[in-house]
Formats: sequence, structure tokens, C-alpha cells
Amino acid sequence: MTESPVTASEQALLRVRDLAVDFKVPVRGKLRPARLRAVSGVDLDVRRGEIIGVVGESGCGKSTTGRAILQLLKPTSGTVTFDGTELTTLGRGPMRAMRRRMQMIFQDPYASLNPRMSIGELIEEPLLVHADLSAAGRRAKAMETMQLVGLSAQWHERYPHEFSGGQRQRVGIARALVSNPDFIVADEPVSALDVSVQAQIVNLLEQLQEELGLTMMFIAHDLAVVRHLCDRIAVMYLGTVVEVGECEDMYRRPQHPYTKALLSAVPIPDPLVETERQRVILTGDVPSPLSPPSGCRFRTRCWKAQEICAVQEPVLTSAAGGGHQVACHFPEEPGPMDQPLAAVAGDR
Amino acid sequence: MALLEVRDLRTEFRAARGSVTAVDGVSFTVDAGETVALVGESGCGKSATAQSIMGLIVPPAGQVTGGQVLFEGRDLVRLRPRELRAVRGKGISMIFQDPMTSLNPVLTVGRQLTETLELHLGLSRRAARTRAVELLEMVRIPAAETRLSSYPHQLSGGMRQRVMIAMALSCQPRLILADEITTALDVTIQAQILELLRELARETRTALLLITHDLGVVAGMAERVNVMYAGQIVERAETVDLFHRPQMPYTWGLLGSVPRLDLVRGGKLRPIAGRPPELSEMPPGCRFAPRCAHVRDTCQGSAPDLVTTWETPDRGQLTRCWGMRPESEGGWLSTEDRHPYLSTEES
Repeated sequence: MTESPVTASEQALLRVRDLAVDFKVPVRGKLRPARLRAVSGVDLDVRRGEIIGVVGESGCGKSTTGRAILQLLKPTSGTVTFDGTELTTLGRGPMRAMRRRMQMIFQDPYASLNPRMSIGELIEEPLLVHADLSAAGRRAKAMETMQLVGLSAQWHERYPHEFSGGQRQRVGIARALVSNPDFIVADEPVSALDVSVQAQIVNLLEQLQEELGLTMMFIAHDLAVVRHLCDRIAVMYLGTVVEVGECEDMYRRPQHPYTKALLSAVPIPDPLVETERQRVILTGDVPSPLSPPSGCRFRTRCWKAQEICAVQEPVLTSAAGGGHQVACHFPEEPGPMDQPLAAVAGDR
Repeated sequence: MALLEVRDLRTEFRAARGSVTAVDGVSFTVDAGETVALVGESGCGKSATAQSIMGLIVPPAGQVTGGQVLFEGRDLVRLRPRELRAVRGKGISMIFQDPMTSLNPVLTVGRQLTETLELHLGLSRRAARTRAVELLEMVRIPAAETRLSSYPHQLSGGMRQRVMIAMALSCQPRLILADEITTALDVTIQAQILELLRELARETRTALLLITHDLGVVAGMAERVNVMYAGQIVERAETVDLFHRPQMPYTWGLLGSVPRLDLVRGGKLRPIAGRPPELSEMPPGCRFAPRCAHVRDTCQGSAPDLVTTWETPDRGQLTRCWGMRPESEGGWLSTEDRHPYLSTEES
């Protein structure tokens, strides 16, 4: 890492170091459960006021990372420092107080809202815990937040079933925002929505970030949406971060073969581009996290893999200087910045 | 004669009060060996259309109440169950979105494949087994022989979808209906499955009706596209034309809602305001009018038909929009810039 630790800690609102999360999974025929390492040695800085995208395929540990940062899951090891406070060793009371500043937006707006509570009650709920406000004060704050996310304040007595998916997701966002948090983890907030509604929510998140200067971790599998919204991006594969960097740098000059393959796999809604494009099509499936490959975890699907990849796990380092880091023994040469995008996404 | 011709199809489902019309006067064709897409958002009727074609809409839940589904000239809607069974498999087969729920969890992959082969083609057990191995190899499943004894839960999502494709291909159908087959898959696995399907359809000259919400998938797979909205087809075009000269404001909205990886970053997305109408509360005029940025009084008054907005001897485009009618008929959009969604994000 060439970034000096001083500047990093100045900028970073959140610092994650060597984070690991294990799950116990039962194994047939055995009494003791097996240990599944869902997140393994993740280092990540989140700068104040930025949106950092965390992308990867299912099972790569992106959601688990988000939950472990918020201490919704207890990390097995590693540190999570939020604005100077170490969260992993924080007691229950202080952690509860800290939660006002760190909120989460969930994927499924149907499952994450209590159907027996009205929209107003749902949005006021965080204030019961986190703010010392009168009932009238809570009501006023909830109404203000509803307007902020594009919900009419008159709807506060309605119930979730009366709303569409997009509107429910606005309620979810309002719940996250009502306690004036500094940091939000948004876990696949638009994945369950239809494209036209998805774009409404993406625009809303963009606007809220600009207006409120939020710091956000945006977890998603849709690379086009992530690029649209995020300042920086971390790509995860099988529990580890394989590449992290500034958004445009990552998309135009991906250095990790997996990032390259991932970008190349995204279909582009233009038939002329699609038919011209040469794709990197990976063979095989993601290996089981119960028995990840030795050395580099991506090597079983990588077209560049050599002996060293099976022996030595590559560490996240910056080859070209600056913030762009990659964990690969044979990263792509950083090319010129002015290449056409389609070519980058397509060629090997 | 087209391989499949759907004529004025109408499918209704039973609802709390009365019934709702999920598919309302849908007509389109698929030629032999051709890939045609049916694209739209959830609830637009695209899956109900596919299920109606396959005869999977069964009373009392729902019913095909009008129209014809002509497959090689025979109307599938009027066939008796026994006759329809003969068409399924050898004539048309279907691949569903979720291979976990459409595969039988208590039968091995091998048994499910051989069952189809024995029933539809009358193969012996041994011959069916040999053919099953060939099919699994055809969909690039490694160690096909040993995979025959696997149960669905032992396979990954991508592998299960390969098995579904193998089953769909097993009787060498002339048409495959693929309903959101990559929606549940990760993007690198989606790329594998689409590539496989593209190759197999080309090699076996099988026609494909691709049902999806993903315009990117359409762009890479289909030759022709039908855009559906609120139970009706609202635009039909060759794929290139649909993306490069979209006619219907709804299609503009769909294209403007998705950020594109190949274009320069920046600019806001242009979502469509509001949401699709409830099936039970269809607007009287154009069904897209309540969300349309270009709406005029005409649109709310009466419903437009799907009509040709331009054509040359070998191609053309159909649109269900008052504004896109020729100028002489009062179409106020026909002279406007047809790519409003591209104007800020050109590469």
C-alpha cells in the first residue's frame, strides 16, 4: 500500500482492517459443524462523503462485509474503526448509541417493513431509540424525512401493503435517514425493483448524497448501476477484495482478470455493440467457500493462472501508485485512460 | 407460414372481484430458426403469454378467453390435453426462470432426462441413458456420465439451468420458450448460459422465444423484439431499430432508465414517472398515458392500435402511440428527435 497511513486516516470515516467472518455450517454425518469463512482478510477505507460500491457475485461476501461493519454480525477477527471509535470491542450500550450514526437500507422492501405498522410509525421508530424528541417532534421529523425521499407527508397513516415496491423502498430509505446518520450501508437497494422504478431510486440516492453529504457503502451486483452512482469501487470474489480503485479507473483500466471478466459479462443494451464485442467468458462456477482454492481464490477460473497462483495468495497492492489496488500475481498493464469503453470491456 | 403465430391472444385470471385481463389482444410471430424477444417489466403479461402458448394456464385460476396460438398451422388453444402433450417436448419446449423449482428434487438429473426421452421419443432405458449423456455434454456439463446420478440440489444454479436447457433440447423441438432464464443467475454465469443458448440455437436451428426484462440480454440475443406494457404489445421492431430508433415513449423510458457501461459516465438517469397500472384499473385510453411525458388529450380519450410507423420493403416498425402517427394524422412526436435518451450520454 503506497497510500500513506496518515492521509488515509484523515480522510477515512470508516477503516476496516483484516476483517474476517466465519459461519458454522452443519455437515452431514459429522457432529461438529464446519467453518465457512465468508469474509477473509478484508481491508477497506471509506472516505467521508463518498459512495463506495462493493460488487461481486452471490456468495462473494459483500453483504456479510456490510453487516459485519455495522456489527449486525459479529466479526470473527479484524477491526472496524468508525470515526476513531473501534466498533468490534464496543459494549452494547455505546454500540447502540453509535447505531444512530450508521444505518442500513435493505434489499427487499417487502420483507423489511413491519406490515402492522403505518408508514409514519415505521419512519418514526428509529427516533424512539435514537433521539430525545417529543411525540410531536418525532412526527415532524418523520414528515420532513418523508418529503425528502419523495413520499407525500399525508401518507403517514397508510400501511406498507398500500404501496408499490419503489415507494416501499423510499420508506426504507426514510427509516435509514431519519436519525441523521453519517454512514449508510445500502445492501442491493434496487435489485428487487423494475428498471423504470430502479432508476427513480438511483436518482433519489444520488440526490440525497449530494444534499446531505452522506457517506455510503452501496452493495450491488449490477455493475452499470454501481458505476453510475459510486466514486470508488471494491470488487469482491469468494470473501476477499480483489481490486479497489476510483470508479472510472476501474472500469476503463481493470487490472484484475476477474474484474475484467465481470465487466465483459454485463450485457450492453445496444445490439451493434453487443455483436461486435469480444467477451471474456469464464469457465466453471465459483468454488465452494467451504474449501476455497489454495493461493489465489480466482485461479480455478482464471485464464492467466500459473504455478505461483496455487501456492501464494496475492495481496492487495498498488502497482501503479495511487489508490488503485489489485490482488493478482499477473495484473493487467494499466493502459491509457482514453481507450473507448466498449473495447476495454470486451478485449482480453 | 410462420412457425408460431399468436393471434389476438387474450388471457384472463380470476381476481378478488371478477377477473383481470393479463394478456389483452397480443399478436406476434416467430419464424423457424429465429430468435424473438418479448420484453417488459413485471406484470406486463410476458410470462402469461408464454404460459398461454404452452397451454399452462389452467382453469379455474385463469383461462385463455380469446385468440389463437397457431403452431405449424395448428391452433394449440383448441387442442385436447393428449394432443397438446404431443406438441410439448417435440414441437415446443420451455425453460423456466428458476431451475430449482422446476426440477423434481427427489429424482436424479439422469432420471428426469431419461423420463422425457422415454415418454416423448419412446426410447429404451439404455438408449435414453446414452442420449442423456450426450445432452449433458452438449450443454457443456463436465463429467456428464457421473452427473446423471446427481440430484438437483447438488448442482449450482448455472449447472441446473444447463440441465434445464438439456431437457428442453432433448426431443429436438422446433421452438423453445425461455422465460427469464438468466434472471436468477450471476452475471458471469448468465454470460455462459446465453453464449451456450446462442450456439445451440444456431447449431440445431431451433427457434427461440426469449422472455426477459433485460434490454441488454435482448440486444445480444434477439433478431426481433416485441415490447409489452400492461398486457399489450406496444412496439415491435428489428432489434437494431428498436435500440437505435425507438418509437414508443415507453421504450424511450426503458432505455433511459438503464445506465450503460459503454458510454461516458455522467448525466442523470431518466426514469419513467409512476408505475404500471393495476390490471384491474386500466386507463381507458393509452395505457401508458398516465406515465407519459408527451401525453395529450387524445391519449386519454381513446386507446391507440399497434400500427406501422415506418416501413421499407424488408423491414418496419409498429408502435401503439397516438403521438407517433404520421404528422398528417396529428402525430406530434413523429418529427421529434427519436433518441432523447441518448442525447447526454453519447460516447
